[in-house]
Amino acid sequence: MKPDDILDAIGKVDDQYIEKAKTSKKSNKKIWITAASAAACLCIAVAGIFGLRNAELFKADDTSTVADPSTVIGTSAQTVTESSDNTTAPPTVSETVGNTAAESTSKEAVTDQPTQIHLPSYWADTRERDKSKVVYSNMSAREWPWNCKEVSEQFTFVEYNGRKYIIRSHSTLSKDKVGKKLGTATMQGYDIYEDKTHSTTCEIYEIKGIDSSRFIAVKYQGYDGYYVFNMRDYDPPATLGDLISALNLTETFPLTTIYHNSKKYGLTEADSEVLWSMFLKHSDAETLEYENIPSGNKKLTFVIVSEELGTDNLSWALYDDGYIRTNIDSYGYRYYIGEDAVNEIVKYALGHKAGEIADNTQYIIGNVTEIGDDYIKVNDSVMMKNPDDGIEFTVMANDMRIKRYIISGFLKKGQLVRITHTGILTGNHTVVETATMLEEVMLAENDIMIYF
Amino acid sequence: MDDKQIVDLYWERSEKALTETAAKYGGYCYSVANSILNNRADAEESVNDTYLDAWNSMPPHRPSVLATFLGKITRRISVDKWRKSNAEKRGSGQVAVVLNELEECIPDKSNVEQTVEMQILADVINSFVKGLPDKEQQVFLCRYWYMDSVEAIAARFGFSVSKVKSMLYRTRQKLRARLIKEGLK
Repeated sequence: MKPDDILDAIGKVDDQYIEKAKTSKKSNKKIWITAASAAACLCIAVAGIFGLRNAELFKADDTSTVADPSTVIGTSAQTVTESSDNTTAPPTVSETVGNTAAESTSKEAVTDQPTQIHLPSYWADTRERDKSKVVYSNMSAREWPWNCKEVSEQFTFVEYNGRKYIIRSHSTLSKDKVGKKLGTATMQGYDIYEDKTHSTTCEIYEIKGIDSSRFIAVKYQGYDGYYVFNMRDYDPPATLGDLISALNLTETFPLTTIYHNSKKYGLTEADSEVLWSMFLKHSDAETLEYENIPSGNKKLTFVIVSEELGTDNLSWALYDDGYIRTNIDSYGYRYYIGEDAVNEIVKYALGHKAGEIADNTQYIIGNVTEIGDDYIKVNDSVMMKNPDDGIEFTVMANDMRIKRYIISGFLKKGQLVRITHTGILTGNHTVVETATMLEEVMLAENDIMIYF
Repeated sequence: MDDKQIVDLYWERSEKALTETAAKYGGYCYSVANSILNNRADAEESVNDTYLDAWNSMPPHRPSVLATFLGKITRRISVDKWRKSNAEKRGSGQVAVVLNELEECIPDKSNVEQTVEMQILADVINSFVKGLPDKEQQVFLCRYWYMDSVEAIAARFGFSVSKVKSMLYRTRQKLRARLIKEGLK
């Protein structure tokens, strides 16, 4: 253990104690100063108390002190600048010695404020689409050549300690969620094109707070990231309480995203705590198998967004027949908690839901016009009400899920594709840097399929 | 604007979230950063990094108390920044002094460095802090969370500097005893 470990651990103390320390008792001494001389007077007045070194904290900056809430954020320059409020003589300001900066208000202007905040600025597509045209994904499970797969797609299962684990997410886990090392293992992957078996080794780690007989983190030899794997054998926990405990769900699965009437809404972390306490009352509910056709109707779904469990779209759903049905583990489970309990939980969640969660996913649908070494050009005229409004986008192949279409030669000029991305920067709105998926699609116009 | 309204702006992906955050908590985050870094440019950079981290954290987070949510981010960023810039020359600023003080809490000064389970340590320290009497708890966190100087703490609470030093010394000894009891080394 090092002092840095203690320092970091203190950083994780509960918010309520940090908040209490922030608002801790202050001295009753007051110094009356005018704002015009605030900087110089404060610097002198407090230097004697805090020491000259800390007096620098109170030197006012000439350029700005106050964030102007009415600052306009332009669509082209997403720079927020703060203007200083010096158009009128400010009133006399009382300053309490020993005041923490947490108490600072815009009037006191005792601390320097950061001057600029930069955010990416995205292009808003206002063109009119031809609503008679829809696309259908043509994707079957394509088997990629070995060199077109990410390592987590090449080696997807591991056997450790008598159990078989399968990969849960192709995104890596944050290092601070990785626990102690458990051991090493050998993994195998099969290349169907070359009829060849590949091998690699890996390190097996705990995921903090989670039973390693159910979930582990795997680090592939030669790679830095940790990937979440889920135990594949059928070994259900005995009760709801056992499931919650084994997966540390009160910590790893915040009940802060609900799906209701085809929309997603948010809840606070405080709501999540209340809701978990409601579920925990039914800890003794026995784990039952998930039936193919539920006997009830879904009332509400909690979307499982959990880095530790390697998911952002699994389901913890409440049904009007009194059951929870979930696919949180490798197998679906069902728990009977009663209709009254379901109604109580649904009532709380819907009564406290906050804003709708915006979906940032966007699409470009068009024909491939050019295939470069690290880009694909796609023209979306076919989807526009006025074809002249079409744009030829350059989609950068930054993600392997795009790049492998280039490497493999599967993509052809003229093919209709749908590109998933998370926004196009305004600097050059014909270049897409954020593409994460490419799908081969088919077009239907007025319900008639059109083939390219 | 209250915290819930500001958090709603983040969820709506409205850049107004940042101006409102800067207006309400810019000073607070700056003071947390500057206590650690003791350098205006570095502290400002930490605060800017805090805003970006907050933008990327909400959603999915929806904190009830925005101040401590932001403060934790700023503290983490600032301590990391301090470590990177002071790897060679420990000895400047509050952090170096704080680390020297916390050295006393370590139960076993073995020459062999042992990895400590961070979550267990965090849980133990949280429980330890929870059990402290109010004033002692506040003084401890002002020193080791906010990295306020002993003089600043003394002025805030109306104590003498020597009283603050002895309070902190006793609390550190209690923490050491607790870590020994928990079997953490």
